Amino acid sequence: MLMPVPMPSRLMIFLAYLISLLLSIFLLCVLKIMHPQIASVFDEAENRYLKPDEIKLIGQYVASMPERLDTYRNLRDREPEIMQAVVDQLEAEFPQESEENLERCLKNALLMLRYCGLSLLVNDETIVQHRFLDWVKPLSQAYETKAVDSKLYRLLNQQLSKALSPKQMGYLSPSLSLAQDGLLSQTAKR
Amino acid sequence: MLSQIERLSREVDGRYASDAELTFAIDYVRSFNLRVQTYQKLQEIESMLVQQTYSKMRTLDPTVFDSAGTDISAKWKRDTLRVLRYVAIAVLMDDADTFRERLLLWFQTIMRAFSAQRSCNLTYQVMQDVIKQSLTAPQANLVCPLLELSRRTLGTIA
Amino acid sequence: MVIATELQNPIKRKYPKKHNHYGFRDFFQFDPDKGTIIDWNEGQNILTTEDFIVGLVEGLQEEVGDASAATMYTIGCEWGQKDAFFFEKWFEKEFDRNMRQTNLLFLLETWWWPFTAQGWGRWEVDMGDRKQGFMFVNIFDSAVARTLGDVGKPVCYLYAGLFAGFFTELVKKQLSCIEIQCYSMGETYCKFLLGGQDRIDAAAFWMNEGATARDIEKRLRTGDMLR
Repeated sequence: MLMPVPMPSRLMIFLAYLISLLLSIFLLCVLKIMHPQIASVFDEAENRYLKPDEIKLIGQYVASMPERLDTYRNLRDREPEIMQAVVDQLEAEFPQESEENLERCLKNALLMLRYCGLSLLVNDETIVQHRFLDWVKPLSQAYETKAVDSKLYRLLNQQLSKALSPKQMGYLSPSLSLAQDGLLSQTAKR
Repeated sequence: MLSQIERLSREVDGRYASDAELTFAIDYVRSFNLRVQTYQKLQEIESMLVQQTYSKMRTLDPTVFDSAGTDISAKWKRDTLRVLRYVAIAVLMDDADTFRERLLLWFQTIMRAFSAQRSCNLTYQVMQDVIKQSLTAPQANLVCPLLELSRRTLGTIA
Repeated sequence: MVIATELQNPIKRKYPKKHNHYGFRDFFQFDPDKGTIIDWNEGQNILTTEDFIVGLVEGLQEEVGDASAATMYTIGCEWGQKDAFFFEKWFEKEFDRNMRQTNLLFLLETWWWPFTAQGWGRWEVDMGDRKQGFMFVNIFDSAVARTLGDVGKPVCYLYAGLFAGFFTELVKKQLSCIEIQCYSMGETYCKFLLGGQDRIDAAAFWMNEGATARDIEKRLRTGDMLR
């Protein structure tokens, strides 16, 4: 079972419970790991050895690993304070919005952050697409959360820039942009 | 590492990995250069490895390449080369689990169907000796455990 | 079995004759857009949990009571029979060889591998008594037994039927199958006896009398028969 990260407010505790419940359903989604080319190294095993540029590709990922680990750990350790700041500001910005709606948006943002974290760690943006966007996007469209999400992401990105170094933001940004742009865009389902 | 990443990816669904869960990645980074070196060395000497193993086995037990009157040396060479290449990639990726799942477990049933366990047992025993003579100690320490895994999986009569 | 019209599996497209293709991600092709899981032999698959097995067993029990065992066995037989035809086609395609001109053990291992990949458990075939007209199959990690746990009686009727149906087609002789040892009886693995009806009846009788799998094996091998 999933272990929720301890949250500073009761809102967050509730969110964590919801997340673990929801995610157990989606555990059987497509699992693609790492850069697709690296994941396929075993495919050709018996036919040939890897070419120098294929090994180089793996080497590049390995070389970036210490920084990715630092980014990931930093994000993980600072998530509670980041999210608490976002919750506080969001509640102030949308005093008329129902707690239910805010919870929904915050829950999804939390998930988004965690999937982006995983994505940067294993260098695989398809994680964000298949394990997050594919099912959150239709939901957010159904609940019409765009206005709240838009503000939420602005607040979140501000907090993230304070918590992470520019280099670390460089690792996080691609998947974060992918997720946020994906959720905010108005295009119909593909 | 590949299968460890996949497992991690599954297990941390919706949460973050703990430091303990990330140590395998740090270990891999540390060992990467040695692994590349070992992988490239295996590529360089693979023919010699197979040939030397073959010759040694012939000396120890010539009947092992005789299957009911048929000489199976060619088949043996093809099968052994296949396993060796998988071992090489498993060394590079530090991934015995994928090696097991995608080759060894299947191959075990095939070897059993053809009663080739004795031959496999000897092959991967002898090959470990050849490896120890052909590679540096740190390199051999990466390869031999996988050869031993091969020997135990393919060579043991259940 | 539904046959997909388009070959999706990229590994199969590249290496159609790759025989070691039973790794989880090799054997199954997941298409999230279509919501399908197509295997290497172009059969359609669905993912189920233990709830499915429990539902099947308990549901049948509720509907037909004691006849549920026989029902599952019959389902297994039909499945095995149909699978024999399915298997013949894909085997000959993969190995460019007639099924009946192949090393028997190799053929059988190849038949069972998709089942292992699907989660039905690993097996071991004992053909040592083939000339006497019977054989044994061991199943490790039976999906049904593992799901139901220790219930004090054999439960793998589906498997027994599957073997009966498949092997009957394979050898073109009417064979039956009975489970003589089960994980659900506290054993570490399941054991099945395959043979003519008279042998199966004998085993069933001995089991009723409290004989163990070992007893049954011994009696069959020494030629004990029910008169």
